[in-house]
Amino acid sequence: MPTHKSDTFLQLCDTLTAIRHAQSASQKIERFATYLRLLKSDADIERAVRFTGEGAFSAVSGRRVAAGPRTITLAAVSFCRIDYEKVFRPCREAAGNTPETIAKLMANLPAAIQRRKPDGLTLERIDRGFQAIASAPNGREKQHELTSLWEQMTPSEIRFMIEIIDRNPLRIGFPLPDLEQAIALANDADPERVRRLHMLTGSIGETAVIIRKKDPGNVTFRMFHPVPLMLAVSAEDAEWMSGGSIHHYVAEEHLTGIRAQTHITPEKIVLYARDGTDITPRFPDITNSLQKYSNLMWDEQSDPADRTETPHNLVLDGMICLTDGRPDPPHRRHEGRIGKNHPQQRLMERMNAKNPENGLIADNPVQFIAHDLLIWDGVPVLEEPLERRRHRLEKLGRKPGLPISRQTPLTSHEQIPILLDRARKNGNEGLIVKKRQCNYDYGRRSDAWMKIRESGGTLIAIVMYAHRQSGMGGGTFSEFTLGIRVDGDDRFEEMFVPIGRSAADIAEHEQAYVAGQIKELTVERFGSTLSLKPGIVVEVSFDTVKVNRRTKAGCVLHQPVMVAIRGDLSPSDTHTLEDVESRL
Amino acid sequence: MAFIKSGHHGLFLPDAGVAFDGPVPREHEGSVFISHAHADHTPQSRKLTVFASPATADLMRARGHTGTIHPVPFGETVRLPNAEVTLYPAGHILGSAMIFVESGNGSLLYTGDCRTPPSPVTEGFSLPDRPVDELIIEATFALPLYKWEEHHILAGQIRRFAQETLEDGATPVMFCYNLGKAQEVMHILAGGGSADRNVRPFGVQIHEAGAALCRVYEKYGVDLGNWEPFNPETLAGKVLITPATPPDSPILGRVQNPRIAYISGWAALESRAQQMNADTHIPLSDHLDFFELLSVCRNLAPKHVWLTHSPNPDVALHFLELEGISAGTLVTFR
Repeated sequence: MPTHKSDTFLQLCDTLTAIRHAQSASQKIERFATYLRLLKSDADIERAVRFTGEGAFSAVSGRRVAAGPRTITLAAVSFCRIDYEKVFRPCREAAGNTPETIAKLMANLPAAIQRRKPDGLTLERIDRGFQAIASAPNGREKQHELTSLWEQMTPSEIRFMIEIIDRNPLRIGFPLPDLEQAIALANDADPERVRRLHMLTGSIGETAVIIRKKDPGNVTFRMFHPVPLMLAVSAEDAEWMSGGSIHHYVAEEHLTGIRAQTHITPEKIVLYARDGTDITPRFPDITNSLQKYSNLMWDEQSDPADRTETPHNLVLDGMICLTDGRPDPPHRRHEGRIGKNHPQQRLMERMNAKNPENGLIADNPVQFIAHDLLIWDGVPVLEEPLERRRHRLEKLGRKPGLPISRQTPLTSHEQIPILLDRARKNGNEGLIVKKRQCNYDYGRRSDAWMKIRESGGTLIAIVMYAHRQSGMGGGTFSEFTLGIRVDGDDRFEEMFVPIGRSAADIAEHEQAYVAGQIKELTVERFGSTLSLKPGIVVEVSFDTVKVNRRTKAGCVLHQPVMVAIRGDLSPSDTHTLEDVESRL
Repeated sequence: MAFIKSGHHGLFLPDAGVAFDGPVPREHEGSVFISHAHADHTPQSRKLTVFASPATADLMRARGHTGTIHPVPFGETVRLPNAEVTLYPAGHILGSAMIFVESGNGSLLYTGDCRTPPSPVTEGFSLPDRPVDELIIEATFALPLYKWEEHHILAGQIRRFAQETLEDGATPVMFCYNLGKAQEVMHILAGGGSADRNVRPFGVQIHEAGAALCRVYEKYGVDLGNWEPFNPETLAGKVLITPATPPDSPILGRVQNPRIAYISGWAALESRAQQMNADTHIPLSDHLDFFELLSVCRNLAPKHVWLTHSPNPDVALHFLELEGISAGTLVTFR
């Protein structure tokens, strides 16, 4: 039974809290469906479902609240009248996430309790609040908008508001498919129909309203509304065959680049990033090139019947890649700037420049390489099998100006290592293996597409930090930060720098040894993290090495896994950062 | 009053000749006082002669202590050559005591682990009515993230979880430490503290290690309801109480359709609670929350406060400083 007016944000938050604590998916679905039935207006249904499944704004709007963790944290620190360093930071470290930390402080600290006068804000008021925050011109104004709302909210409302702004899935264990099921249950509709409609609208909030009205009308994918992209799952070489015979698959190289979609009409071309952001101004070289392609294609068209060859209105899924994207050899790397010339780094420089200068474009030329087709001549083709979409895409690729991915039909397992090797030599990350008959399962991570990567090999490293498992005994560690040697490297003053973080997966017979070593080598504690002197040497396998400019090393091991404790080796036997860089 | 480390987690006052929760260092003479029977507060040597409250003495014997234990009732003063020592109930577990030392060098209160409002299965919580110069206080939950719900709310959650789980045909399993928390939860499941006269008492089974300790609680008049040691053959319809254990542990492997509640102060934070892989998290704690800690310090108004047993004492030190209370950290306890 509702405890507040159904159109209040608090009632939604109570429902989300109940969902968080529900013990099964069916209970969660039932609880949200019950809540939906209470809402009277279409607008409130749209808002409640949008806040639960999409964020502050519709997934196809391309809008964001643009209030980051710094803005939110500073607003909270000011609201609670606490010192960031002395109070907020340690609390944040203990709680492990910002929304929960802020909610607890709002609930517990007298200054915050006195300032808050919960007023049962409506969903409509929260919606306006999100718009006001998004429109605020700077961080200070955004903080003002946030705190003026918080003054009228409970800690639970504040927490969910922050999580909704984050655009992360809410931490309530209620994924989109379950939300679709709840919408279906509330309206006595077919869940598959809800799912398909969601695919078309791209917005779960809008979908809920259409289902409630029981009149989908002419809902279809629309040009210039970004489509949430289909994602691949990781696959071990041995596992991916479980879906059927290898003859049912094709392979493409997993290009090193930025995933994007482009919407093309004779009048307009727009590029969207994976999160739906319009990134067209960042890549004028791509839009110029696609514009030429578009002009060429439609200038050639003399007969409307030609539309089968040269359709209007296209949406393509693909990658933004450097046109000269192979990794530079080590001797060409800029001194002291690891990976500066690495394709990932150069692409991020392009991505970060909202209005790039000509020099940046000339130094880092890019192109859009299409690998799938979502809309053909204004008509969504997502339900068509990949083979048919590919056939259409290849037609488009025959004309100059639109590069498309290279696809290889698979006929035997022996092809995989050969194709992986070729991908690596081409500077690419691995392979994407796709089912020939799969439709485009938009917005989902589907096992119809699988990523296959070659193991990056193994390295000898040290344990720099041991991270205690919260709530467990002092000798139990959940993760280790691994370090790589830089003692002979002029770029660094330290002996070791962090290179990645792995699960502390220690064999039972080694646990006592490692616990003893950690006790002996601990020099400092930061909450549940222990800083260690070099001493514990480990062998680590990893997937790839990735450039990461925010780390001291400039790169990190992707998916490192501890293989063995190497008590037979000393810290001076470990690999160096240069060894790691050579595997970039 | 000067103090030095004693043993792994104890403390010794050389001038007073009093050790708390650890042995007297070799080069010194004195008497050992034990605050309570949890393993991190009892001496490693089971043969050590110690002073403790009567219930703590019985619990220590039930856990294998073979040395002499001089029982000291709460409020009675033990006169030693260089000091007088009085125990005050700490509200943490049965028998838990705060140890108050008075000597020519002033007075000191060592809280051990404490809780106020006290656990309903303890002798209560009371502070000395005489001035305290130095306060050594545990600060396990010394962040403003921690503020406990009122006891009757948490007790209601525990009973509701048991009821709903049984109604669903599943077995309620309550993860709680087998000395103190286990007995408090059993007391709650027996209807203890409930204003509802019609509250249904639940049948309970407890992990074997906790059974001997339950008998001590009953000796001191604590109602633990209808309980028996763990027996999977007769578990149906009852609640199982056991320390936190992995999903593939032998005990859980013998329970049909277990549904788990993690009952601990650490359950207050989702990130910690989720690591326990439980269905429900109920933050019932045996310790002071952040605000209770400040309140005890404020009310007692000692000349100096020492915080111990805290993973992050700096926040509490900051707040004590804001209130003008002189405070520091005993790092040997961290």
